[in-house]
Amino acid sequence: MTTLEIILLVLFFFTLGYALYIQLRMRSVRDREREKTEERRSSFISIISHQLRTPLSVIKGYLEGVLTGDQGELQPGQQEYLQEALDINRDTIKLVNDYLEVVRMGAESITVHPETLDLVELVQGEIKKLTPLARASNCELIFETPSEQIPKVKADRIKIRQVIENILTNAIKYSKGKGRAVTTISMRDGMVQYKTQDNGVGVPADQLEEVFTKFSRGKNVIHKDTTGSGIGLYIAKMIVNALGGEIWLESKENEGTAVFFTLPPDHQSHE
Amino acid sequence: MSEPKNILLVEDEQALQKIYSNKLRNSGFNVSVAITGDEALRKAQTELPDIILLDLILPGKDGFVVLEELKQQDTTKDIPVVILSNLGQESDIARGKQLGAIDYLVKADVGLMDLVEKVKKYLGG
Repeated sequence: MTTLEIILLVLFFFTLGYALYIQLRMRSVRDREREKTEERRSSFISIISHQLRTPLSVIKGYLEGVLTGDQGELQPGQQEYLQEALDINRDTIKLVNDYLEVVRMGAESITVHPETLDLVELVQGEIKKLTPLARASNCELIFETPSEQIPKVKADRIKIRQVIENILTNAIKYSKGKGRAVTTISMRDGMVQYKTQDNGVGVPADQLEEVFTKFSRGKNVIHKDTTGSGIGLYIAKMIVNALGGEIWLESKENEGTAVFFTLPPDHQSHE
Repeated sequence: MSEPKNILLVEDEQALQKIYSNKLRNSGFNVSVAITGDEALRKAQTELPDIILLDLILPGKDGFVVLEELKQQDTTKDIPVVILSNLGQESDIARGKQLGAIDYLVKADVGLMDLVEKVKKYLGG
């Protein structure tokens, strides 16, 4: 090997090494930037959580205290007014929680912690929990027991509850007159499929594509109900997709909406 | 009839102190209140409550530091601690549980009666 070849070889390895070093440095700078952004996001969420939730918790606490008799017995009219104030307070807390969730998912991704779950049991629990709210809105929540064996699913318990709650509260909120929302669970193409069919105001045909995007609200409801954040279904889609499922809806304006989502069955579970 | 159980409520927000302590007293508990992290540690040592309800954002030492110190002291390490905070990120919940809290409740999401039921459950009745 000639001296020139040796020099060229040394130069080649030096350049290669330097390029690698620069690449590693760049990666480390990017990682630090990402960490800093995450830290800033996290501290922003903490501040907002504390600043917004604290006054709402105080109002909620006073209302619940009075409503549960801490300040003596209430007249029926007083009870009704305070209950309405408490319902509005709860809606506002839900909105704040939804917005915080969106900030939390700022990187357009979401972390899920899947575990083996009985979706039928989970849905029954959610329906039971939301039944008082539904009754107060003159809406009936019905669960039809599956006619076939439904395998357990792999899902994040807290987040999938949030999806079901978003779907059911939409059905309650947008029901007209005497509302009715029927939930079923079945098997479809090897996936566990959830469906809630309501008889509410429906979604206009030209907006069906938009319902799963951020801050989207139906133009037929935007002036009727002011408590919707327009992000419930957006969050639901992020969660279901992260769990390996799909979410979609079928709707006819003034007739009702059916919301569907699928989840993969847990093949490891034999129960 | 058994003696009423003692709760140490660590909460710096005056209105929430009033709301929680009223409801807990009306439900038959003795309630002592601390408004800073240092006061919480002092009262935990001297009063040895049956349970501690601990806020996280406090003047001086924050709730995580208080929890860590409670779990390091022989006299207080076995007192059940429930975090009651308006912070609710997964990382906060994980940190609280890892430091030894038996539960983590978000104030905005938990109802007053639910709080009383949880306290009763952790006190074994």
